[in-house]
Amino acid sequence: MNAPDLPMLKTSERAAGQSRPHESARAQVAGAATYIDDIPEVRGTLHAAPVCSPIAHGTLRGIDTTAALAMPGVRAVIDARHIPGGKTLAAFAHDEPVFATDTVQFVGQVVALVVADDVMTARRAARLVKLDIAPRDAVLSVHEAHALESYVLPPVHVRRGDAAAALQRAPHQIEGRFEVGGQEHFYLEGQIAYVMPLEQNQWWIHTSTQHPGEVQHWVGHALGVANHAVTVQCRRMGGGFGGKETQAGHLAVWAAVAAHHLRCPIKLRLDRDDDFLITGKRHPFAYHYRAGFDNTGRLCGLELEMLVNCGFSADLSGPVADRAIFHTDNAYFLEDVAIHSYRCKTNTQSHTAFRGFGGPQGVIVIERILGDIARTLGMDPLDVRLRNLYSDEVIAQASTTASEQRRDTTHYQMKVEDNILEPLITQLALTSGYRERREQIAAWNARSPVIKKGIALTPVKFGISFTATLFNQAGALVHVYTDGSVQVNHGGTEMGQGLNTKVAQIVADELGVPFERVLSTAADTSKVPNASATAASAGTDLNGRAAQFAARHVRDNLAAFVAGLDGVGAGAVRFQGGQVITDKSTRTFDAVVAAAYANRIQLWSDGFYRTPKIHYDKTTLTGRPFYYFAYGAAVSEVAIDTLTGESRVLKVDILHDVGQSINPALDIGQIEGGFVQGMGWLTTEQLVWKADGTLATHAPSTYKIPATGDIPEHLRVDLWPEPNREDNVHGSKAVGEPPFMLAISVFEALRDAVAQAGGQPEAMNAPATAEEMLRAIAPLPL
Amino acid sequence: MRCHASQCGFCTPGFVMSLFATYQNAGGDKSCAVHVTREQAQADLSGNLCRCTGYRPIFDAAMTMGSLPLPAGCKVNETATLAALADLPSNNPSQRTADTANAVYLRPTTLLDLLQARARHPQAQVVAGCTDVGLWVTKQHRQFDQVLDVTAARELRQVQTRPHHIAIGAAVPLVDAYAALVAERPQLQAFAQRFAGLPVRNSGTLGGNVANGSPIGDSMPLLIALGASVVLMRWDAEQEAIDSRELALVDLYTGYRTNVMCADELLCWITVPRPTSDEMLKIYKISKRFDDDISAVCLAIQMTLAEGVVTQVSIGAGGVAATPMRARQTEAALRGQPWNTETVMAAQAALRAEFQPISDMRASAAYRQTVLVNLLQRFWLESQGMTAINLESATTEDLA
Repeated sequence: MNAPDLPMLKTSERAAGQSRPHESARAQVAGAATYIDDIPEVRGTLHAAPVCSPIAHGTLRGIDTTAALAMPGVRAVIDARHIPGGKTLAAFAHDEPVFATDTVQFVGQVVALVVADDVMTARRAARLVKLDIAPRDAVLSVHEAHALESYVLPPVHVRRGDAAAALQRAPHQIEGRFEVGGQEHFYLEGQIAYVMPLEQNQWWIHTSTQHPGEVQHWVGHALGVANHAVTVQCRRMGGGFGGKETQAGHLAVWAAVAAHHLRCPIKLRLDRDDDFLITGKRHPFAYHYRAGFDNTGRLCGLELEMLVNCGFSADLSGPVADRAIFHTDNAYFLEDVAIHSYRCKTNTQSHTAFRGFGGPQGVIVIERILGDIARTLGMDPLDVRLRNLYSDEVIAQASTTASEQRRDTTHYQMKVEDNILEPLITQLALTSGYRERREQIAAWNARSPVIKKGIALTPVKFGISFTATLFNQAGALVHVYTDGSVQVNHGGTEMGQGLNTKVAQIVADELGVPFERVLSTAADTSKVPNASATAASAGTDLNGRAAQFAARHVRDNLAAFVAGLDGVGAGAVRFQGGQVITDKSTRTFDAVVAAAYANRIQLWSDGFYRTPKIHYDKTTLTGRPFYYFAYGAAVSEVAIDTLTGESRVLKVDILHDVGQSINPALDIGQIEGGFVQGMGWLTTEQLVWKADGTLATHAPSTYKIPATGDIPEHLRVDLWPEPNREDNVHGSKAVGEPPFMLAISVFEALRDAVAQAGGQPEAMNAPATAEEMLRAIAPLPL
Repeated sequence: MRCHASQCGFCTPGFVMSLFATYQNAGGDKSCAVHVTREQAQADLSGNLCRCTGYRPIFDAAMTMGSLPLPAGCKVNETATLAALADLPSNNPSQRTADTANAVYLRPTTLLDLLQARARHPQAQVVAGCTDVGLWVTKQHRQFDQVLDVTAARELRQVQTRPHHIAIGAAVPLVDAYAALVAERPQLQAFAQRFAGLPVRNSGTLGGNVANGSPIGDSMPLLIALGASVVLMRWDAEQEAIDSRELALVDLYTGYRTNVMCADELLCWITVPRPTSDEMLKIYKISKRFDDDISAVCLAIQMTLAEGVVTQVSIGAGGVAATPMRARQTEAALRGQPWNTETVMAAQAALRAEFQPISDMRASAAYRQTVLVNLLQRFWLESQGMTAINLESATTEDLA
């Protein structure tokens, strides 16, 4: 329901540009919104639970199911032998078995599935399945993997100029090592799939996924049926954050194999602890860098090695590691640079997409380097950041014959044309009082022996588009029914971000009908086929445009019809406020639709969109991978306790660029939510693996996402008032991921506070738990 | 909904229930509507998690709860609701006393019945709020044939104030137990709220926390520092009388989640000495997250000075060993000494040597040890009148 209780807006008011409540807000608040586990179960539904490897690496010699099968209510134990089709998941690297067969490769790898009458019986029985595993040496750290050259994909090197020579020439140099932890998605709705056999070896799958098309493809591959025999539907997810881009596919395939064998509907809903143990997370990174810079803080050369902990399989690690390379510049011109990216294979969960998709791991290292450069030179880090921004400044050339070069081209050869950041940062520094507060903090710290404060302003420049150019396409269907009500369906999925709301706003304006007349329906592979994942922040850009085109086709049909009636040109027919207006007449939209139907006019249409201008060479990582950049900046002020390492975020000011907002409330929701999630990544969300490779933090009791007590009262978000300079839907910009990286200002503020306390900010790794902070403030005795 | 406080919606029903409680507590007819402060909202929502919004819009929604109309008939009649709940077949003890050999769920309504039931079923799992036992069932898949629920025993649902101590019944919910402690020692307020989210504090009991005896349970360091005792009771069938004994809380524990209680004994009362006018008391909790987190280290210090000399001191520590501990050697280094930096340094050395904590996912042994020592430093500084050196208690103004 599209918020029917709201007062009707003036008929002239457009839907887009308004802070409309989320299209399902009323149902969600009333507890009436349906998630997969709320779908009424079909008679005969059985429940499944995974059997996981307790060993990080070993030879699987046998599976003893006797005790499990003896339990009342247990129907079957399903393993690789029951897979009718491909035994390897249809992921692009084809390196992941559906069920582990000869070897197990991490603690939590799924070897089999127990199917029982109810879910608790299945889970209890899963613990009774005995796995005979001969342990082998496990690679648990990224450094070990790199030393053994254990990679899931070949290393990638991106170079411009001569970094080594530039470092040699530079007046100053710093060298450092840095580690950033992973992050559990902690979607509130855990992974779930509900698979139903239909007639003639056809399959219906309800799943909580960001990528129904991939689930369809994977299930078809595992069952040995064509894609057309599998239908996947998802009305909404209880959160995704990238964690349901590929990982939802695993559950659907497992459940489908069981459903195929037992010929009955199977529901597989992971327990939270199992979800933690089995599914991939944000990639942990380890860095080694050498940076050269001049007396003004300007970077001359950078050599950077990134060790990416990919886990046991490639999954999306290639593009994640690539995006980290693409975002190592963040907002700054890197003249002579060499980046070496190693995609390390370890015996842990296969790390996967997570909001930012490697971008945060690229941005944080350059922000750290600039912060350390500032401290080395005794400068305000903001001045160092400003000094290094992209600009149209001409690079001093040794040879006058060379063509003029400017500080405006990324290390992957994409020109940065808009340079919004300098005015944006300047404005934020003014409105937040950054300079004065920095002075006040220094004075405050001089009076405060135990608590120290810190402040930092960091920007973000985030490239929008899937780096794999082919994914930048989308389709949509707009149906107008004879009563004038409108249904829109598109290839995107709703995970709370408000995609369906924005698409409905766009369609409503295209047809000139009230927002309430447009209903967004569940993502469904039988409606819009071959849709890309709802990811890369591109959901609205792609699907919104496709839906706009679909609606426009219907509108054109109606305009031609009305033009014929009134004897005017079709271009003179206007659609607004639920009316269709020409110079000669004003009719209600509903009346026009009814008349058009009677005259056999097509009232539904498809729309298709592909992002223009983008191209990119996968081997050299050069080109224009992104249609445009989204920008933002944040100022964070923190306080730390030098006795305990505890910290608190005191004040946050954000200025973010969403172009011309389609829905400011939803955009601010993404900015705040992204920021706080990023804050969690860099402060309390610590993943700890035990020495045997078992994830020790596998539940809310041990893994700490931000709670209400962690949110500063002063959390102010302003939107940059300028439309997208590229032709994007309604002049908007993507907003899902970029704000996540604004939280790096918190990490840099904490490092500033550590510096003010006389500690060693350059020794600090992320997340900045109290323990990590205290280590940086004063080294702990062993 | 108007505040845009629901994104994916999965956490929303939980927040709605917490907000409903805020609304009920704040509302009423317009004349007595209470303004819901941000602090109140935070306390009420401390037990809920959201992964989408970053909470700001949820705070906004919470802070409107006091200004929403509460039409006649919408105010929840708590007594009537509780009575209706008690009448549900699953809750009515008279209908749930199936006392067969195999499956037993007992919820006696008097202390005598409770102790007699315990004597009959020494193997039964004793439960109160089930905030931990519930997880043994859902996560560890443990199944209990016999369950003895103490929460209906009316005698144990009381807090009794005596001249020299307060006695907290084992079935008193944490929220009420801590309210009783905070009433006498207001400085415990922040700690009481950080103990757990509100829903957990409403269902869990202080008796359960103490009897469970987790080395990282937060009540024990505090109660040890306060010199609390526990009263254990059993039904003596031969004498046909209740047999009871009282011992210092710290003597209850024998090892990791083991204690001195006999199979037929129940922990019935926790007695806490009342404060003296010159008592210095502080409790410090260190955890990764401010709210809803288990302590890496918890340190409680109670001290009395006379003319600058430490005349009495007791220190409770959590997260440092297999059981909640009393820092006796540190106390010895303090007792009878002048309260000055030399004494503090000696006590810090004693404290560093006293425990050998473990490393786990919450903190390393080195961190635990260092922080313990530093917390003693914090106690010293606070005793010297330094304020705003603890982020837990520092106000926005302190940090401005």
